[in-house]
Amino acid sequence: MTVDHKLPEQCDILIVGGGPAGLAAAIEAAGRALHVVLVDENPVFGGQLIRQIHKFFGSSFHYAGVRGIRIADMLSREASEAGCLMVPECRALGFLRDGRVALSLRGAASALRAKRILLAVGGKEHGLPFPGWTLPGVMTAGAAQTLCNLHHLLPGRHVLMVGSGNVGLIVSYQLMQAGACIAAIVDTADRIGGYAVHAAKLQRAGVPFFLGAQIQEAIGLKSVQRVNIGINSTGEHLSIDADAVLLATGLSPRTELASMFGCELTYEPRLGGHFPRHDDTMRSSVSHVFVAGDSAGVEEAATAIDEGRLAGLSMAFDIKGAHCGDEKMRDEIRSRLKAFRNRKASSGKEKQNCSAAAVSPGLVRYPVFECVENIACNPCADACPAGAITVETITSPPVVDYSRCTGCMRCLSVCPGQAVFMVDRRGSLTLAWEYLPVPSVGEKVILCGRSGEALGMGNITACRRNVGDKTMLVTLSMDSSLVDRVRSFKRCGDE
Amino acid sequence: MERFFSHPILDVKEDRKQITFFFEGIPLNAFDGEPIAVALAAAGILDVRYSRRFSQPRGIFCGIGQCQECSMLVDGVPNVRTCVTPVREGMHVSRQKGLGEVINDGRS
Repeated sequence: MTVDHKLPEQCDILIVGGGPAGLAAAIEAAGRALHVVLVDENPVFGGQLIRQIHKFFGSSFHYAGVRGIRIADMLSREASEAGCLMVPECRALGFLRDGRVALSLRGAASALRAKRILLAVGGKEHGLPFPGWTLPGVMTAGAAQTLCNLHHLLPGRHVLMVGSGNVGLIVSYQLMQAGACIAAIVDTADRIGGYAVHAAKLQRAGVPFFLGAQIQEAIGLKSVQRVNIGINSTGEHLSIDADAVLLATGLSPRTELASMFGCELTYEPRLGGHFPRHDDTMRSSVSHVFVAGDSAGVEEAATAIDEGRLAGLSMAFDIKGAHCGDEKMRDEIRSRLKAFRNRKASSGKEKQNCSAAAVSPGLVRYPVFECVENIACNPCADACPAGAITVETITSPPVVDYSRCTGCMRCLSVCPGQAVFMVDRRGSLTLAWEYLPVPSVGEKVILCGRSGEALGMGNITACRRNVGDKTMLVTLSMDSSLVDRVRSFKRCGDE
Repeated sequence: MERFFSHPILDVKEDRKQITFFFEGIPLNAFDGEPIAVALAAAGILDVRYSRRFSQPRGIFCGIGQCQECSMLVDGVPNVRTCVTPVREGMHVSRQKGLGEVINDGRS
């Protein structure tokens, strides 16, 4: 990627923040022959994507089934190839009285005049004050993700996660992949906040969830060693050994720059609190300032990409006037965002839509989809070469035509929730696996159920590794009575 | 905190350049360009700063240069955010007590 470190004095569009929203806007605007400058305070573009080693939900428009780290590369390359001037290690300091934006490029201040400005500066994590929260070892879940996935440093051996939303669940899983043990996940709510498929990965690994519980104190001399939690319903207290306490207690939009530019803020708790009020072109109350991504209301990377595209197109429209197809494209994006946001909150009681019971009795080997929520996600349908999987609207659960399934298992390897299992009634099960060491054929393992409970012994009979995205497909042989219950395994010798 | 050298998804580079820097006079190894706070954590040093009023230990909190909790004295300059400042060969780093003293105003 060619990166320029010189700043011009003026440009058509200045984009602050090179995450999914800023990059998507840069691609659209620079691709329409506009002079676009994209600044980011970090040395690498991609925003939070560069820490995200999990596969994305969404549709192919949102790079569904692709890991965040790869999406960061793809978007950065695309923006650079579109002719966007990309300036890393450059912070936007604020708004000067003459209308220019003050920037600091590695400590050297300068000012830039732009016809349109996009603020795509992302969100900030919430802290959670409790006795001992300032101890080293207590940090945000995002910090732990940075240490682990960017710097290959384990934030702790025994980790206590506070918060069971998607951030808490995903980061817990990623720390386990790097070799940590999740001592507990604690949440004051009485049900898990994040997606059931993310929680299921942790539950089948035996991670204890303490719901309706709160962290009371972190104890340690120079860093955290122990944590006390209280169970609300029973009033009992537990003491848990942990050398890291991670806070996954929500995000808020970053609004400092928007406020400085005079953008009116609005308030919506579901989107993280205050953020700049904007219309359906992503224009804020200040006519030449646009907003997109988490700083325009905290949602997901997929919606950030689409909001960025929308803002990029709208700014191009402002400067260059009507472009063929632009309005149509913007409408498409709007309807995609609408469909994506239309996800009904799950009640936790949804019926298994394609459980073993739904399968015609004659079948011997078939995929089981343990995907019960209306997540905006369809990579399984896109990946099926036989066209056996239908996802009606983006938030519908998959429906399988078993008469067309060839048993190729692409749906297993692509599912971002690792929620598809290949059941063979004759006594084997294949599942997606992303832990080291690589399982070896012939290895004897402890078979585990959906809550991590041991169900018996089995053998690994195959391990296929997809070189492209590293997800392994592991086949286990077992007593045929267990195929509907086994969903994971433990290595012998694992504690 | 421990480093890991193998990962099911990530490629952990094995040929990273090693450098030596100094923590309160003690030479420590690090990978060139990784954040100072990461190099210290890998060496077992988590309490990088002591608070102004009650002299309590502080460490990495946000990991992205927003919260100031990992501020240290780096080559004589106080309040350096060590979670986003790359470690370099021969750097001198020490724990910051309170607001930190200016030993080098950057103009020398």
